[in-house]
Amino acid sequence: MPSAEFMKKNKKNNLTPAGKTALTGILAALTLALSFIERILCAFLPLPPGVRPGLSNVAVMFSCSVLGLPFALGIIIIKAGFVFLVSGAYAGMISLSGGFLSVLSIWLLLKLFSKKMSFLGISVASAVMHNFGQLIAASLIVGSALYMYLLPVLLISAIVFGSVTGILLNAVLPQILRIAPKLDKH
Amino acid sequence: MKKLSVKKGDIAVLALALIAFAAVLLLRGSPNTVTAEVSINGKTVFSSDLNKITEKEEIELENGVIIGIEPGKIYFISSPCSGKDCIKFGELLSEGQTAVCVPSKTVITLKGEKKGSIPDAIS
Amino acid sequence: MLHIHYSSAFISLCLVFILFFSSCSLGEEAGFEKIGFSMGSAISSRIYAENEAEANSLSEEIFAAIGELDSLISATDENSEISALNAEGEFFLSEEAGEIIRKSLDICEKSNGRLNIALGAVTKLWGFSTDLPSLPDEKELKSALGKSKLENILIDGSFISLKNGAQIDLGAVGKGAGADEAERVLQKYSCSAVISFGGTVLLHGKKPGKENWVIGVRDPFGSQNDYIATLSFSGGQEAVFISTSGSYEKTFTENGKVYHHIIDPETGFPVQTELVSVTAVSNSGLIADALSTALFAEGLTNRALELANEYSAGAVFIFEDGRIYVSGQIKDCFEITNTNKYTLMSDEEIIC
Repeated sequence: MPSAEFMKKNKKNNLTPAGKTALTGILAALTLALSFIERILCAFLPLPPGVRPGLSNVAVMFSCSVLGLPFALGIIIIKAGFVFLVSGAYAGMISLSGGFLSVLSIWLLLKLFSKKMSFLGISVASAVMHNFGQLIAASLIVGSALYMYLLPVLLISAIVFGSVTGILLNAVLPQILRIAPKLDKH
Repeated sequence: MKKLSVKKGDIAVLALALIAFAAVLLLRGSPNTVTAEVSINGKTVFSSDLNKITEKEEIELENGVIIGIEPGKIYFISSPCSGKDCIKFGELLSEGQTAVCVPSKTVITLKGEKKGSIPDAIS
Repeated sequence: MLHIHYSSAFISLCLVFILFFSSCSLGEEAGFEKIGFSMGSAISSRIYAENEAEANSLSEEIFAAIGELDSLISATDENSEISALNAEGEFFLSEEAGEIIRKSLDICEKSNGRLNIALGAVTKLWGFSTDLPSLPDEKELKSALGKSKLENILIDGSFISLKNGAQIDLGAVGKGAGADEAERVLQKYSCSAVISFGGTVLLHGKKPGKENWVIGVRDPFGSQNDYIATLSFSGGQEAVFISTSGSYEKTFTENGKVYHHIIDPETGFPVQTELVSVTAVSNSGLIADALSTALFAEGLTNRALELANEYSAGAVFIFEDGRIYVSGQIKDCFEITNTNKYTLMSDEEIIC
């Protein structure tokens, strides 16, 4: 049983730093797994280029809310590293850019508006930021703004799929917290 | 145990995002993809979205015809046949335009998103 | 509170469907286009069929029909009937070729020889059907001109004999006849279609979608993709053929002078005229093609207008200074799109 001092330091939830690290690993693996499943799924669906259901964002949002910004960023870096290994440097940079902006927005919204928002809004916002970050990175790499013509499609798909993953997390979170109350911040 | 239901903030985010989407659409019109198709004797050998081209390229086809492609344009550079009519077509810039090298049966057409083209043909 | 989850899940599912469907293309009202090659040019065949396979097979049938006709009447194909006729001086033509000769001769006579299918000896000297046309020798040209009289063609049904070394050249009517072949194929089917090659356009049926067919009149000073006016047709039972002859096609320059390919049968030289192009509209491909040449050679005269009326054809005369005269029923469907450079002439302005 952790000491009282320790509990004060970790007022937010009942996890030790070691616990947090371990959880980060698990959640990173989950993120990668979700992204892998998503790739397979997309092979069967006639979706326009760049449009993804964003399943791994569920894990990322969860991580950010439970573990905080630094650990969530770590997960993003791990994910980008994975993309780099599979698809090369450009893809890795694009993933990093999208993930970074996305996590930043999740953290900001959680910090400022957690009372007024469920994960639906957070998910939509982070999906939009994610796609936007990817577009910016792609445009910078290629050196021209031509990719910006994809903006409308990516925006609407971020809104739609962001809503889906957000609602998913809304529905699933209470069940998770029931099983693992230590994670609950409130 | 907290029950998570849709809250005001969510609606605000959704509304903002949709407004942004509408704004982006209005500001730039609908995304314009112009596909250039090069065919030899009716069979497509090369197809590309001119808007996605980022630098000037020269492509040599299997029959010796050389095509130039730049962001937003495509044109014949040279052909092994004596007519050289194809080069006179100049640069193809907008959908519906065609350039043909009859002796080598090479055709470049630009196809856009519009359904049906005006005019239907040119005499 | 579970209701909210279900309903929001349902809404998001609907949104996904909307996204999915909006990215699909909605129903092909653009027709299916295929390109073929025959008669020395690229043939564009756009068929409005139920599916691509049907359209493509129909296009192939059209290309085959045009190709078959070409193998009969082409002056450059040494195996064609016309080549045999020219070589032997007499030949028993097939029904199709014979009919083309007969119909063409009718137009030759009615046009007072402005259209002349016996000009083969002359056109051969100019070499417009080769890659290197050139100015012929004057003596040779004179002698060739002598051979190229219409009276030198004798017809007996489909048996043709040529006197005094006359040579048949169906270049001025070939594409029109090819378009007629395409129409013959299309009549067996119910799809609408637009067939276009070498300045000749065939409109078959009505354009899907309640719109009119719109045909551009080529800009005489622009590329093949530029047009300066439009002709609209509702289409329907009868096919519409539009054919243009212009001094901008097939030209070459020698010693600083530009020579175009529409030869004046009286001089043996390219027609000297202020016209740059003539477009003829008819319910027959051969007539449209033949008239576009005959009217160009005749110029804008009373005789030209009578000739067009004789065949119930519409005509558009474009002058190099931008004046345009439209005759026939097509006046109402003609509209200039480049009003900066081109103006419509009224009936009073015609000087004959």
